[in-house]
Amino acid sequence: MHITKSVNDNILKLTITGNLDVNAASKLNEITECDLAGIQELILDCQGVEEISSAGLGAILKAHRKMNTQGIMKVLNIQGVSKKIFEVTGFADVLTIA
Amino acid sequence: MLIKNPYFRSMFFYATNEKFHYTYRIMVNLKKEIDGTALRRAADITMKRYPYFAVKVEQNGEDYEIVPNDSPIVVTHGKELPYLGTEEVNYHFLAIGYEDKRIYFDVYHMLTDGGSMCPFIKTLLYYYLCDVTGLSLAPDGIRLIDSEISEEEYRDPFEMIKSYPAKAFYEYQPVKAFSLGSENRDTLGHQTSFFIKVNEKDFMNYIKENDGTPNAIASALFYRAIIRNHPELELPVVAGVAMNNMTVLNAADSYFSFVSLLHLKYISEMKDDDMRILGTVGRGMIMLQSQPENILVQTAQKPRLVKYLESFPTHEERRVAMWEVMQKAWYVDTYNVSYFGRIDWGSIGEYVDSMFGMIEAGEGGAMIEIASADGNFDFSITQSFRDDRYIKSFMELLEEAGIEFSYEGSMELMRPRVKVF
Repeated sequence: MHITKSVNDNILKLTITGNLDVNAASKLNEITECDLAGIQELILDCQGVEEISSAGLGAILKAHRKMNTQGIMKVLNIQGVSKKIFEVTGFADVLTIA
Repeated sequence: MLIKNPYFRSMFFYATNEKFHYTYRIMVNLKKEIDGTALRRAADITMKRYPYFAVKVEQNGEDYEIVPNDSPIVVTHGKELPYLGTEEVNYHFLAIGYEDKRIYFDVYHMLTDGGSMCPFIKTLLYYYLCDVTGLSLAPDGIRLIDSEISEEEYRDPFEMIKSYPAKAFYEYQPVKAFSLGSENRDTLGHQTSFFIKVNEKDFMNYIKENDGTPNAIASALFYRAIIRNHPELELPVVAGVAMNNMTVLNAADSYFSFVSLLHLKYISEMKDDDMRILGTVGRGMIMLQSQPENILVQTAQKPRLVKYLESFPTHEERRVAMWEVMQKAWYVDTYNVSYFGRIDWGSIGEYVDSMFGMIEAGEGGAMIEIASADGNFDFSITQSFRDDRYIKSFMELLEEAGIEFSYEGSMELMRPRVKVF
């Protein structure tokens, strides 16, 4: 699992690779708590995500709720089993997926 | 301390009728034969500690009131089912029975739910077991007769709400779900309960391996059991999972019954998904649907329900209106799942064998009640029909997963009737 951060003005892009499991969720939660000041757009690029766990869903939901108060969060390139999980759980109805 | 809030009063008065007795039975199996005299003594002591469970309904002009009931709680021998709220149980909405090694707790659901009955059961078993063993058992985690009755025990959740959100965070869109009744017409109406004791450690390991929770994995296993019998099924299977709203409303210890249903939808494209995906999906759906805004928006609608009911002039019309509301809200899922949570029996645990909750399954559905304590998950699966093929498949799935379990038999559903007025 790896999360790469890149900031451009008030846009923060997180590129996630590997499994979005408990460890990755913990790291994503840390970013949500510490790195979102002044950020108006948060982009989660999930092209490299292989599997997603419930902890990963929880972390994404937390980030989404935080961004709802200060801007927007977009999820990019979600695919495969992760995409199916987003669709059947209803997460796809709540999140902005591009 | 007694039910005063208009919503809870309306539910108490109108949520049951001749067709549907909104009651449940909790069956606690001890390891030794029950001593009826000691049980009687323990029941009398316990009722003093839980005065909010000692109520009756009195007529006051055109209206009815829930008032204290000083008459003793009725304790009977045998499996005969009581008629709650009537003279035979001193007009109480709670009665106790026993036979062999079993104690039955028969309860009107609008008095309290199964989770809130657990402290009462623990108190009663504590006094009973101290009496019959002659031992001074450790009282840790047990509400004793001289312990303070804290405000949290009877907190009105509506009073805890500071404001309501404008809209829900997420709204589940109901779908036409597969009905088990459609495939089991021959024995439909023969409500049957099946009991399975599952090794707690094995089941917890399985839950962890598959990214689940007891609710999510029990729902997924029963879904799998259905698919095993109907491999060509195209309609979605939906599990209605009971959620206690009181935790979200900061009234977790309150005895008021305030449960809503979360809907875990399994579509035909999920038939071949492995259990880990079903676990993640189940937890994800629970997570999304249990967001505080959703519960608060549902709660905000309750006063509107009261107004609607009060728009009908007679109590009987209100009861009919309530039944229509309940049918629309409930009988849309394939089966229901309710997990009491883990019960810490403390010092009395070594005397308790198992505990099963029994409640009527919705028309054409099934109701899975789960309790966990002292090494086991106790599953009580009540179906609205007799056929046991889903139960057999459920147990096959447990076996294939390497989960130790024992089948404890089946019986025709035993649940009391109730007459409020």
